Amino acid sequence: MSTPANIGYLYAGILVAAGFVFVILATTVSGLLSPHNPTKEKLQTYESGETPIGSAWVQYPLGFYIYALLFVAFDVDIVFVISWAVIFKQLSIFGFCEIVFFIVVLAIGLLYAWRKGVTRWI
Amino acid sequence: MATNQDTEFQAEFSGTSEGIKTQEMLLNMGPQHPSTHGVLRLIITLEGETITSCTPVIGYLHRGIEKILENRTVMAGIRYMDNSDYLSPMLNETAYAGAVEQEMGIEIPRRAQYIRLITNELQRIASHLVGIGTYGMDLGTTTPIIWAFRDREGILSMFEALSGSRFNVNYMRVGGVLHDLPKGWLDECSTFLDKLEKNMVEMDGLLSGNEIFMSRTQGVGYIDPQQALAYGLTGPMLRASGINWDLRVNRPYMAYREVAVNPIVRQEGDCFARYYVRLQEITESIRLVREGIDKLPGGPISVRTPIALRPPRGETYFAIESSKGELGVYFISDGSEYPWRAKLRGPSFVNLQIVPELLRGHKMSDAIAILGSTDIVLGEVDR
Amino acid sequence: MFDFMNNPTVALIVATVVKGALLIVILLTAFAYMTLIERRVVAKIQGRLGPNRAGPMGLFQPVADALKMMFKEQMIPSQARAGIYVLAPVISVVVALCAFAVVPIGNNWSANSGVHSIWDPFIGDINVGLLWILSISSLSVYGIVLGGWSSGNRYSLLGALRSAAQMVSYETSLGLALSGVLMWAGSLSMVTIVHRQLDMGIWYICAQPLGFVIYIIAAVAEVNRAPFDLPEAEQELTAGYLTEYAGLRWSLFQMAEYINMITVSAVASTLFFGGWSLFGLTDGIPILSIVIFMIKVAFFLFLFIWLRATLPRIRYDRLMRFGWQVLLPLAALNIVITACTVALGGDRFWWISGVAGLLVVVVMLFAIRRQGILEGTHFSEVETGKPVLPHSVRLVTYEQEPELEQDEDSAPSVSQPPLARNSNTVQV
Repeated sequence: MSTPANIGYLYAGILVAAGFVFVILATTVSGLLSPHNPTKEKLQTYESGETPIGSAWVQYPLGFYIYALLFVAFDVDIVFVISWAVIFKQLSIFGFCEIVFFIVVLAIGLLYAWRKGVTRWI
Repeated sequence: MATNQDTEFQAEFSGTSEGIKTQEMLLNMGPQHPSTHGVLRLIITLEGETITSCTPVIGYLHRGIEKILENRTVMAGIRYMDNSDYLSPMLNETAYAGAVEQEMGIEIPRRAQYIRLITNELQRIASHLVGIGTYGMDLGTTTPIIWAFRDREGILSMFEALSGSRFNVNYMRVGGVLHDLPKGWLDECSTFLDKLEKNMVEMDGLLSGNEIFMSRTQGVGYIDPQQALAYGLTGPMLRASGINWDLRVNRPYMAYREVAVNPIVRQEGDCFARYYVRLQEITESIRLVREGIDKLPGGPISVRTPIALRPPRGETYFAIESSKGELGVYFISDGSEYPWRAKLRGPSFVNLQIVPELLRGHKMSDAIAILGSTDIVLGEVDR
Repeated sequence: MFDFMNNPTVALIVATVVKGALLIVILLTAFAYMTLIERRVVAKIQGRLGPNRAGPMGLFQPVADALKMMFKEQMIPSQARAGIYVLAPVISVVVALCAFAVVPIGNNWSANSGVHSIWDPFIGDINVGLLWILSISSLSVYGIVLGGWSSGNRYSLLGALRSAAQMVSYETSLGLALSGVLMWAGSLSMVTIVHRQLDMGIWYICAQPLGFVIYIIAAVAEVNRAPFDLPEAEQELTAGYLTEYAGLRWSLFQMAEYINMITVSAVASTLFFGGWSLFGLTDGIPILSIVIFMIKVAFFLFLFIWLRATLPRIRYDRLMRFGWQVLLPLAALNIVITACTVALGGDRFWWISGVAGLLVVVVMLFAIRRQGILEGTHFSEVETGKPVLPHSVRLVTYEQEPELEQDEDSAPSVSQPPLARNSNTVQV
C-alpha cells in the first residue's frame, strides 16, 4: 500500500488532538474529584512566608531581550543550515564554499556579539 | 502597573546601554525558604539578578535561652544549651559547664577532660558534616547531604549510647561528665572513624574536584583578612581568610593543653576555602579523637560537687572553639544557685553580620553559595 | 466486521488513531515509571532505599502518586492571570507528547523488505521529521514562560525568564549540532536517517563525536535537567516557574519535563546510535528492534539520572556564557569539519571527521580546565565596594603565628591557661 507523502502530517495532527484530549480529560476528572475550598491565605502568592510587597510583574532585565535578539538571528541561520545540510551531497563544491562563507559570516556575527560583551550575561 | 508602563518603556529605550536602568525588585528570601538554613529572612533588592542590597532579619527562632538560663539552676541550665546551636549540643554544654567551672575554680579530672575532647571533636565532625552536606545541597546537588547525614548518623548513635539521647545529649556536668564511657564504646568509635575517613575521601572526590562546584565557589564571597578581623569572624570563616586563630591552639582549654591541634588555615578567603577548611577539619578532628582515645587516662570522670551548686559571686568569660567559631559564655553569678546572667557569644550570630556586605554585587545564585558557606545555625543566631 | 478497514484511507486513519493513543499510553507509562526509577536509582547512589512500600519493589508507587495528584485541590492564586495559568501546563504536555510523533520506535514489521505497513511502529514518517522535533520542542518554552509569568510570583517570573533565555540559547547549539548528522544522512526523515546508518555500516556517533557531545549537553539544558536545571533552581527560586502550581497542573509540568527527556534520549539514540538497529541483529525479528531501541533510550535516561545525582547546579551567567561562547562556536566548527569530510569523498571518509571531532572534544575538555571558562569569578569582578586585594596579597601562612596587631588588647594571654592554677578541689 502506498501512502501519500504528506500523510505524516495527519499523523502528527492526530497526535496533537489526542494530546489535548488527554490533558483536558485529566484536568476535568481531577477537577471533579478534588476538593475545592479556596481561602484567602491559601490563594496568596508564595514568597517565603511573607506577604509580597508590590506586584510581581516588574520590569525585568534587558539582558533577556538581547538574548532573544541573538536567538532570532541564529535560529534563522539554523533553518538555513539545516535545509542546506540535507541536500549538501548534491551541491558538491559550490555548496561547500557557500557554507564555509556562511559560517564565517555567522562567526563574525557571534564574534561581534562576543566583543560587545552581550554573551557575558549582564 | 499599566499606567506607568509606557513611561518606563520610553525611559528604557531612550538611553544608551550604560544609561539603561532596570527596575529594582524587592525579594524576600525566607523565613520559609529552602536554603536559608532555618528561619533567616533576607530582604534582597535585586537589579536583574544582581543583588544591590541585603538586610537580614533575624529573631524568628528566638526562644530566650539566655533568659531561661537565668531561671534555671546551673546544672539544669546545661540542658538548655543544647538548643542554642542545635547542631553541636556537646560543644555548647562544654562551653557553659566550662564557664561555671572557671567561675568556681574547678579543675576537672583528666579523664573527664579527655572524654570532653572526644565528644567535642565528634560533635565538630557532625556539625561540619551537616555544613558540608547542606552546602552541596545549596549548590544544587543532593548526594553530599545524604552521604553526610549517613555518616552523622553514626555519631548520633554513639551519643545515644553515651547519654541516652541522640540530639539533646545533656551529657556535660559542672565538674566533669554524666557517665563514664560505656563498655565497647571506644572500639565502636574507632571502627566508625575508620569508616568515616574513607567516606570523607569519597566526599572530597565528589565535591572538591568537581568543575561546577569549583566554579560556583572559587573566588565567590571573598573576605580579606582585615575585613574578617574587623567583623570579628571566628572559626572556619576566619581561618579560611588566612588568619591562624584557633582557640584550641591559641587559648587551650581542658585536654587541648595536652593534645596538639593543627589548625587548618587557607589563604583564599572565598567560599571554596571555607568549605575546604571544614572538610579538612573533619580529618583533623578524626585524628584528634584517635589521639584522645589513645591518651585516655583512667580515674574519676567528675569531681564531687555539692548538690546545690552555688558559684561564687563574680563574673567570668569562658570560650571554646565551637564548630562555627568562638563560642563564649559570659557568666555572672551573684552567689546563688541561679546565674545572674549568662550571655552567649554565638559564633553564628557574629559570622552572619558579614553576609550583607558579602552579598552586595553578587548574583542571586551566589547569594546562596555565600550564605551556605557561612554555615550559620539560626538557633544560635536568635538564641 | 472489519470491512471498513478495506478502505485504505479509513484504515490509515484508524491505524493512526490507535497508534497515537498507544504512543500516549506508552509515554505516560514511561513517564510514571521514569519517576520511580529515578528515585530508586538516585537512592541507590546516595545509599538510601527509595520508595519501596507501594507494591513489590515500590512498583505501584507511580499509581499511588497519580491518584494522589488527581485528588489534590486545583487552585488558582489570587494574583495569577487565570486563563494563561491554566493553559500553560496544557501547552507543555501537548507539545511534549507530539514531539515524539516522528521518532521510529522499531523496524518495519516486514523487516528489511522495504514494504511499509500502516501498523509500522512509528506514528508518522514526516519528511521533515527532525525539523518537526526541533520546532515542536522549541514551543515547549512557551508553557514554562507563560506558566511562570502568569503565576504572579517573583520566583516564578525569574524562573520563567531564566528558562526562556536558557532554552533559546541552547537551542541554537542543538540545531547546529544536528546539521552534521543531516549532512551524512541527506534527509530529515528519522526513518531514513536510521536506514542510512545501516547502509553506511556505522552509527553516526563514530562520524560525529563532537556533534554528539554538543547535542547531549544542549539537550540536558533544553529539558532543564541538572546540572542545567536553573529554571526550577529550588535553592534560589524555591521552585522557579513551578512555585505556584499544585496538584494535577504541577504534575502536568513534571510530565512534560520527563517526556521531553524521553524524546531527546530517543532522538539521541536515533541520530547517533543507529536507532533500533544493532549490528544486523534485528533483520529477522522486527520485534527485537523495539527492545533494542528501548534499551538505548534507557541508557540515555540513566545518564540524565546519573548527572542529576552527581553534579551541582551551574551558575546562570556561566551557563549562558558556556552556551554562546563554547557550544555555539564548536557547533559551527563541527559543521565545517563535517562539510570538509563529506566534500572530500563522502561516506568512505567518515573516520576523518570522527577523529577530528574527537580531537576537538579532547582539546575542549582541556581548554575548559585551563582557560577558566567555567572557572571562578576573578576578584576584580566582585563588587564589594572595597578595593579588592590581588591574589598574591595574603596575610599569614600556615605555620606563622596569628597577626592580630589591631586586636592586641583583646588577644588573650596564650601562655597562661586560665584553669591551670587550681587543683582538684572545690572552692565554694
